[in-house]
Amino acid sequence: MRIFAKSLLAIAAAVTFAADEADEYAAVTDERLRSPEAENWLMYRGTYDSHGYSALAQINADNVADLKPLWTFSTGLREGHQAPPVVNDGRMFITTPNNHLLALDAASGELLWSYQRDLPEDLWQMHPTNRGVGLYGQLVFMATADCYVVAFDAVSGDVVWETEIEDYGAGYYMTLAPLVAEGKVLVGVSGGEFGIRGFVAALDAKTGEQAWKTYTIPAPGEPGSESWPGDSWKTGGVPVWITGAYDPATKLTYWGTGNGGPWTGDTRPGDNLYSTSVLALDVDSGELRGHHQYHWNDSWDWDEVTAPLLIDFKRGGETVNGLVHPGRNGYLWFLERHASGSIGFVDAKPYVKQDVFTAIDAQTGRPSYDESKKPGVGKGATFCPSHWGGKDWPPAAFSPRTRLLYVPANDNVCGYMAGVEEEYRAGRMFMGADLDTFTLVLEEGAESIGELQAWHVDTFEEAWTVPFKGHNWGPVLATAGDVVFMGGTSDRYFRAFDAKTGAELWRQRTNSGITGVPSSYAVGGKQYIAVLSGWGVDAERQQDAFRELGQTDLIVPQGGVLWVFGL
Amino acid sequence: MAAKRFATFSRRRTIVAVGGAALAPWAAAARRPNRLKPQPGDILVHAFGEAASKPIGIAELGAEPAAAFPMEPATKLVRDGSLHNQLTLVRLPHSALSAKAARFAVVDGDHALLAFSAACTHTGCEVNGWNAEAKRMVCPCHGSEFDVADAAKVVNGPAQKPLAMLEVAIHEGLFQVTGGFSRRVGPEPL
Repeated sequence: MRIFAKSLLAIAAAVTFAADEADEYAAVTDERLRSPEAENWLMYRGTYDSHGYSALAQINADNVADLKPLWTFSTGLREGHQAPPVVNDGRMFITTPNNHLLALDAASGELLWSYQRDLPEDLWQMHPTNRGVGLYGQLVFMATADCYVVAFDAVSGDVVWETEIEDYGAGYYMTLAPLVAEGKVLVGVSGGEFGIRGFVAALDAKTGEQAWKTYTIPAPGEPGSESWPGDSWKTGGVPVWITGAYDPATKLTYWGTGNGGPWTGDTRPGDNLYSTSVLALDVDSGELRGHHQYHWNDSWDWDEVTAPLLIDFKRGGETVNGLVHPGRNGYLWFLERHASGSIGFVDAKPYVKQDVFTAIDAQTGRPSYDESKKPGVGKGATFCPSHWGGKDWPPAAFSPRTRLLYVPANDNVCGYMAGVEEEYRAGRMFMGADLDTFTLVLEEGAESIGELQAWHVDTFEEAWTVPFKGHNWGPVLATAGDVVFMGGTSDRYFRAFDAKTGAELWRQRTNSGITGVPSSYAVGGKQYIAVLSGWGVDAERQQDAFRELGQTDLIVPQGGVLWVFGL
Repeated sequence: MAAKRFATFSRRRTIVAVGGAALAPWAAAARRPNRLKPQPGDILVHAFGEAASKPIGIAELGAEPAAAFPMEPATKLVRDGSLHNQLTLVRLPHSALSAKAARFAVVDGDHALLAFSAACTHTGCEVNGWNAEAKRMVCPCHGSEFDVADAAKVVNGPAQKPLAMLEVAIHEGLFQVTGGFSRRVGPEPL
């Protein structure tokens, strides 16, 4: 018996040793994060500048019509599958609603390991989704719905550390992919609809210890605190939903912020800094070095959650080190980023129907409002775009080859909302919106809602637009093969477009609707396109709102499947 | 990982039990004691407003429902840390009740008193709307409606399962928890 046990141990040791050799892992370094190899997709948008652009060109506009599904993988879960397949050296990491993490062989589809988060039973997930992992060294990081960051060994799947960021019982949760920069793991918190006080936090990547935490709402006495009356700053929301961008040259990281709470601005008179803004934070200290507020005292749930794209564009013959942001408020914003952190306004104009802004200050970019379009407590108003915005969280992409910005937009949809008094109760809904009377209002005679728009960043002109009958929640991928990939429509198609003309070149119907962020990678010299199909969360809620209006009777089936395509 | 977390939790409980401590010291030592589920012997108190944390007398309950949390009577610890502990107390004519509802009802003259979970079985929102005419609890998030006289059976909306009911009794004019919930509180996991 004893001998048997010993030999078992010996065999186990031998197997472990063999596995170690086979499982050599390409450590993710700061250098690699700054300049990822074309074959790897190491972070949420592929690169620090948030371009959502792959430098691979094996799949291109000439041959994409031959693209075929190679393998799929069922996650076994419902709700919104939004994570990009993150790939390092042939290993793929995807996350799902309920914080499952799957490690797959990126070429064969073999499951290497998996983790299922043990979420508390009384956790109410208003946004049941997760947007993927960050990588550093041999670690993989996931932010969780119960507001932890968990670090895994990329090869074994063992949990190396986990750190609680905030109390889920007070309404804090996370759905974003962590940003890894300069040895730190950066995350932001959701929960604006629960009366939280938003922040970005940085952890030491090796230990999980908190390095810094910067609130998105200043405390009394801090600059900007005068823009919040009374105690409203304590429960003012301003969450951080989506992964920030990073500029290694200046060590500044750029984050989009959500709206103030409750939703109607008359409950918190003032500009409510730093809501609906872009923030420039020092990556080492977390110090707030600059900001630009897209619009003040939000009353429309126009979260400006996506980080801007770092694009150097031309204006008047000069090159501007820029930030570009298609806003939920329906304007496309061009800003200038300075090495000091300060952010200047360049220009902006609406990319969908927008009837709230009456003017934009040419110097500061500050909008003026048509007050009749601004809901308040006991005051209903119709406004365009709807509270889901011209573009919600799905990220736009930029191709340096075409100089075009590809925006997944929704046009011709307005919203009606009225505010109601709401008492703050920890961890409970604190939106102050009358959900009984809330409705969408469609532009009369409009033939399309969803769009893929292409804007030239140097001329600020719209190059082309592809319209869709229904709404569009498709994150965009651009590639060096001059192909743009996007799902997002309720007809369940994943499509490829000519990056120069917008012509549809290929499409594949999938199991569910696609709100997953597509990525591209290569293994052994072969290029792949990968995307999660799994409809849910706000794409489904907007579908329900259209159904109530009699605009559609289409049911989009739920259930997550990873699709991997190749030639 | 799930197993590891559970083991830690069990160990903490065991150590306290060896020390012979009652519930209260354990609860005080817990990180968030106000999240502990309703316990037999707990008294129900007002959940919100000016009367928050004050015991609800059965005579107070009228045609409008009341929101309640359990309170540990010895320590006055209000278990208000979770929506899953929040209850909606309803008073109805006894004759209106279905057989299932009658099993969880406390008789008060010709009326019956019922304690429902406030956590929606659809996605877990706080069910805080009240249709007085039809005696229905209404979820503000997706419009599910629950018939309180028929044990919170779903009569409208996307929810599939009834709200859980909690076993309570009258003790010195107050509501006292005597047992557990009738079913899972809140939604099924995804």
